[in-house]
Formats: sequence, C-alpha cells, structure tokens
Amino acid sequence: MLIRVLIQKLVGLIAFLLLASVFIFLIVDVLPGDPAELMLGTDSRPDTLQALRHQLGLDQPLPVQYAAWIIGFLRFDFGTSMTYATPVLTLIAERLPVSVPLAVMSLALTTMIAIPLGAFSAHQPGSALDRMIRIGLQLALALPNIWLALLLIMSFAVGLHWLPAGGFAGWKSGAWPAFKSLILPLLALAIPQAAILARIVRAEMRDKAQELFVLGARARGLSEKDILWHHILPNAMLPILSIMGLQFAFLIAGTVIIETVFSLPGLGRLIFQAITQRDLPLIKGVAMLLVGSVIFINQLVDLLAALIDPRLRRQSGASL
Amino acid sequence: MSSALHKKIVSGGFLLIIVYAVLAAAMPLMESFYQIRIDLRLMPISNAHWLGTDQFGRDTLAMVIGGCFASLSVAAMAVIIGAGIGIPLGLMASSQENFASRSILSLNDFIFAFPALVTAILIHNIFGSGIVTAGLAIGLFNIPVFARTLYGAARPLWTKDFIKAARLAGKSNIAIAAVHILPLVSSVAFAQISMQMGLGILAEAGLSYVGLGVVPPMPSWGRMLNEAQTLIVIAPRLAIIPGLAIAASVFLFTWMGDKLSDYADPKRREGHDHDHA
Repeated sequence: MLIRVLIQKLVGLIAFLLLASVFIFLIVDVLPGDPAELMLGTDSRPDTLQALRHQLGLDQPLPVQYAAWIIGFLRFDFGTSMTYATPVLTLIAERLPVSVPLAVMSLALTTMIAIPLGAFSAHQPGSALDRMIRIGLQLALALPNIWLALLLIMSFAVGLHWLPAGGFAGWKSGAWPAFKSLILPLLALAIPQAAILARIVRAEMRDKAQELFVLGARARGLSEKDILWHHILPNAMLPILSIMGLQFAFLIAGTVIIETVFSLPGLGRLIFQAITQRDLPLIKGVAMLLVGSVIFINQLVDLLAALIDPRLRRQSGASL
Repeated sequence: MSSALHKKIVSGGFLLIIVYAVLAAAMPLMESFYQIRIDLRLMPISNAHWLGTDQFGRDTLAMVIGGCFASLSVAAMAVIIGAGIGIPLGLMASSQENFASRSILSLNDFIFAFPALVTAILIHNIFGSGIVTAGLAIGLFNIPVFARTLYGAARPLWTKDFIKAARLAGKSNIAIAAVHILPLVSSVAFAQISMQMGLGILAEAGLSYVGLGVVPPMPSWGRMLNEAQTLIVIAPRLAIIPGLAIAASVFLFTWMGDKLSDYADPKRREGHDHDHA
C-alpha cells in the first residue's frame, strides 16, 4: 500500500514536471515567433540572425528542440545564458545561497508567527483576544509586502541605522553580517504570509474543535489548554501542512520580488536581468526551477500526509 | 452580530466598492494633472497639490486616483478569467467521481505551481508589459482557486434528494449544475470573487513594481512605490501614500469577502474563516 502511494506520487511528480516543461517551452520558444529575432531585435542582419538560430538549435524541428532541452535537464545541462555566456546552472547555483536561505527562513518565521496566533485566536472564538488577533490579521493580509519592505527600510535602516537598507554582505564576510542584510527582507516576506497562514490555522482548528475526540477529551477531564495544544492542533496540522504546500508558490514569487526591493543578488535579480536582456535560455531555466520546486514540494507534502495519515492513502489517487 | 447590522456593514462595503469603481473611471479626467512638469517637481503638500508632487512634477493625488484604474481593471480581468473558467470546472468535477473529475482536480494542482509572477515572466515576451500580461498571469492562478472553492461547496450538494430527483427526471449533469447547484453556491462564489479582487490588486502592485505590470504614462500604485524608493530619505510621503492606497483597497475587498462568506455560511458566522488565498 505504501509502495503504491510512493509510486503514485513519483509518477505524478514526473508527469507534472514534463507538463510544466512543455508549457514553458511552448510559451517561451514557440508562441512569440522567432526567438532569435526577439533576442537581437528586428533590425539585425539576416546572417547574424541565422548564426544565432543555428547556435540555439532553432533551425531544428520543434520536437527535436524540445527533446534536446529536456535531455539537457537530465544531464544537469540547463543550456547556456546568452548574455553571460555561462551555463545557466552555474548562474543559478551562484544565486541559491541568497534565495534558498531567504525562502527557508521566511517559511520558518511565517510558521512560528502563524501557529501560535491562529491557535490563541481559535482558543476562545469571539473573545476579546480573538477579535484583536482577527482584526490584526485582516490588516496584515492587506499589506503589500513591497510597501512593508519600504516602511521597514524607512524605520530600521534610514531612521534608526540598525540594519542595512539593501544589498548583501555575502556569507564570506561572516554569518552575522550576512544574516543582518536578510533580517528586513525576512520580516517583509513573513508578516503578510503569516497573516494568511494564521487565518487558515484558526479555521482548521475551529473545524477540528467540533469533532467527537474533543468531546471525549473534555469528558475525560482534560484542561482546555491541553485539548487545544495536544489534541486539536496535532489533528489540524495535516490540512494546514497541505495548504502550506500550496502557499509555497506565493513564497517563491514573494522572495523574487522582495529580493528586488532589497537589491539582493538572488534568483530575483537574475531573472529580471534575463527579461530585460531577453536571455531566453536563462528565463526558461529559472522558470523551470521555480515551477519545478513548487511541484516537488506539493508532491512531497501529499506524500508526507499519506504517510502520516493512513486514511488519506485510499483517496490519494484523486489528487494524483 | 445581528443580521440587520451585518447587512448594513455589507452594504457600506458595496458603497465603497462603487466609489472605488467611479474613481477608476475618472482616470481620463486626471490625465492633465499627472503630466510631467519638471518645474513643479517634489512640491510639498499645499492647496494646489493636496498630496504634493513627485520627482517629475506629477500631482500625487491625481496619480493615486489614476492608479485605481490599473489595479481595478487588472484584478477584474483576473477574476473574470478565474471565475469564468474555474467555476464551471469546479462544478463539473463535483458532479461525479470519474476520470474527468480526477483530471480536472489534477490540472488544478498543476496550475497552482504557476504563481502570477512566473506566468508574467513567461508571457512577457508575447504580450509585453501591460494590463493584459498582468491580468492573464493573475487570472491563470485564479482558475484553480475558484475551481477548488466551488468544488468544495458543491460536492456535498450532489447527494441531496432534490438533486437525485432531478437526475431521475432525466436532467443532465450540466443542466443540474447550472439550474440547481449554481444558485446554491453563488454566495460562496461571490465571497471568493471579492477575496480574489483584493488579492489581485495586491498581485498587480507587485508585478508593476518589478516592471511587468502597466507601463507609463498610465499611473500604477506598484510603480509609484518603485519610483519612490530612491527618494525615501527626501520624500518619504511618495512611498507612504501609494502603499496606503493599495492596503486600503485590498482591505476593502478581502474584508468584504469575509463578510460575504459569513453570509454564505451562517453557521460559521461570528468567528469563521475562509479558504486560503
């Protein structure tokens, strides 16, 4: 049974990745017309265009082009960036030490803020504390992360001079200076995300609070605090986890935008440079990485859920 | 909360949304006020310029009012795409458990892997920067959001007796979905529409900030934030004002979304919460 679920998720993962690659290939390489003309401009010389077409393999039939791109992935060859004349994978690898810690730490911070807030709010629905938390969450949900970032820069960088307004010190300069340049980006990313997640935590916990095991725990004389943290929260964690998987897409998009606000040398800056320079191999590579990581995380979350809760294994076919 | 008070609050929200739409429609009238006038650059708040001017001498109040148009039209386009495709898909998937419904749900999960930013980056080469790129990119992500919500709301209805009766009477699934199911889930749909309008405005601001949204001279709150960033020390108001405009309009729509979903599900009124973004 477990093996079946594992195989199912693996098949799903591969199918989704293939579908995503077709999608990206079609949108970037096929739909706009001639990629060579797009990259060089319409007034470029015909022989230059022809040379670029040949270099990119655009003179091959489309299925051959697609196959070459996909086979490249399997050999860890994402193609070569036109503007940097460097393998796309190398460029991406240079940026990951900024983007990955930022994304992972902001996810951790989001969870650390959201779960206690959601739980306290669900503890006594309608109480003064619950109302306060809910108004706060509704306001934080409406905060544009860019604006929050600018407000943080105004107060903590320009006003108080505690933290840098942007740029990245680099991990080589030591863990603390590097981390210091990530604190404001982390807060700007995590606060609005935490508002969304806390609302979900609250809703799921309120849902679970209606179930019979809660009544049973109460009948056995357990304290409300005990029931909340040790009975309701663990049972609500699975749906919370699966929604966090879906939120991962927001996290990726948020990270890319916030990196731009703080001029951090991460994937965000790489892909926006690629857009202005029409560096198609680089755009495809980064897009595939971003989409692929969302797909991977979601399949992993589904798999974990099925491992933890045997009831989900029976219906897991439905979500592929 | 009494239901009379609840109704008053909801109609107040509707009124604000109408005001917002009127402001968006007023964009052409504002045009003469946000022309570039270098001689008027960085004017402070005064009687002539209620919110001052920016580094190009454009009146900030006119820019903020003009910005309603970009955010409202992008968010509305995204909702029309998302609801127009997502609602039928969700209802179709809810009608029965078969290969088609499982495929729809899988497709949903798949589209969730394309956040608006990534889609906008991909289609930027085809459509350039502008309302179309932003609206399509946000709209694509809205499809699975609507499909999921409507699937969840409609699924339990199909086992009700009156639906079974309609089936016995020989009605097709499509007819049942359109005539019997849709009216029952419409309040859920409206709540989600309001929620996605708010999140669409938020997403538009992000896209315009990074240059994938609307292009000059059309004013956009997201780009105002971008242009204000370098002036944060000398003119912080240029960054504060457009952010307030975004936050206020997002708040209006997401809050209305919450109120409407209370209305859709009175059992959860007083301390409910709704589906994720």
